Amino acid sequence: MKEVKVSPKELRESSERITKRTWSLQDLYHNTEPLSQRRLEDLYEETGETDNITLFCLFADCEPMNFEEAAQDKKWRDALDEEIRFIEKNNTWELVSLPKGHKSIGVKWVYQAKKNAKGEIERYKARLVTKGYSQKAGIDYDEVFAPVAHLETIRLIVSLAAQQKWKIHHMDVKSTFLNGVIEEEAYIEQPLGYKVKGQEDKVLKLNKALYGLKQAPRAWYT
Amino acid sequence: MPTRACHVCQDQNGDILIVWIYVDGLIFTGNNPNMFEEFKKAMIKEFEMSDIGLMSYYLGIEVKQKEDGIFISQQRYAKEMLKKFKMDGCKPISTLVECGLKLTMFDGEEKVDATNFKSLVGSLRYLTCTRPDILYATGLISRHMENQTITHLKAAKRILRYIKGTSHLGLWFSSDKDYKLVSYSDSDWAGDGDDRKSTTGFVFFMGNTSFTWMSKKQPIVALSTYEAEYVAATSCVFMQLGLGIY
Repeated sequence: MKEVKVSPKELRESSERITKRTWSLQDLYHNTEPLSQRRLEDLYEETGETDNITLFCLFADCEPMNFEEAAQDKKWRDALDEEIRFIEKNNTWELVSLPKGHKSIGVKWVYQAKKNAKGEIERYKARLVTKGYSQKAGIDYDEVFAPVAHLETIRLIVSLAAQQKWKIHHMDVKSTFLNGVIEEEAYIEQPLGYKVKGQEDKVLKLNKALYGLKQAPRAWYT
Repeated sequence: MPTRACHVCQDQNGDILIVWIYVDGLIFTGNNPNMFEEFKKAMIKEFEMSDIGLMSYYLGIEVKQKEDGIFISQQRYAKEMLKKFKMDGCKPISTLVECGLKLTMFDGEEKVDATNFKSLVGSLRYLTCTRPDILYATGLISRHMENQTITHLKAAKRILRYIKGTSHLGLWFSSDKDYKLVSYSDSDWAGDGDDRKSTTGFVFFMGNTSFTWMSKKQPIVALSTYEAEYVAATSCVFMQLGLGIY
């Protein structure tokens, strides 16, 4: 074997070159351009069948896509149960057959993972909403409005509170709109997963407002 | 100040409780913590409520309640907005508008996507809740919602670059002794090159911090600088009267 002689100076230089080239993982991350970009939906379609691990990584913390998916997961099923429990406790609806000349409004489930100010998931929430967009003004509802405070009023009171060293507290009404009594007649379909056995063709007559109804914000206010 | 969404109650001892409502959110403050508990109990009896405790996050506004004052900002909203318009990696800039920039409706430049532009203007408008500093610049670009070109988009992106460097800013309401209502108004003259209308600006201070402000093009064409100033002063007084009536 032939010996290669390297002077100490060269050695130092080459080692310097190496250290200069060594990047931390963070540098690498910031300096690397993505090779290509794809929409999440495309990825979902491609990986759906074959690669469950990729899928799991992608959607570990996502909202479910449809009812079947939600019903399989305990945390979402709990959320669904909670919403139905609340609606029923509130006397929101009664099961009737649809009178002639009326149309029932469709309903759907909306899933949301609620996050706090830091972006961590606080709780899982399912909300039954009506497809209020099929309602017609003048026929199904009259006025629409909701109580809101002016932002300047809010800032003024915050400033007052700061000056007086008062503390500001915050409360939320749970399922706000379910508290509003509606005057108009409204019928909705039975929600997916909670249909009454043997009476699947019946509809629900609303006593209280549901989310998505055009008159819901007003009903809450009056 | 009994507006419909904001209520003030006072009991015999002179303790007061201020409550305001934003659809389903209920915010209250006052000088007697015992009253808070009473109020909470009464509300929980009536509705199913969740007690969030001290207000910290509300309508996208972060609230920090400290010993010597309250700080409100929209840092998270600003960051999300930058991400939404793909400007989260941009280079910050220290000024909002290029000096002496005149935007015109008829600059003959290439048109840009209307939806994106309008969404950008709307997002910037919401950010003015805690950022009066960007109000004038936002006003300038929102005049061109109908006829948006590359020039206008560039002006809008400059605001985003400014926000990138200043997203942590907000309003600090300190518990200073000097708590007086002071307001200032000003106007330019024929600032808009297209219709020669002037722009009103006013700001109201309570103690050290401003709590309400406006920057808006005047509805009429002022024939002289003093007329423009009068229009501005009038809208300022309007606001003041409004605050008294609340």
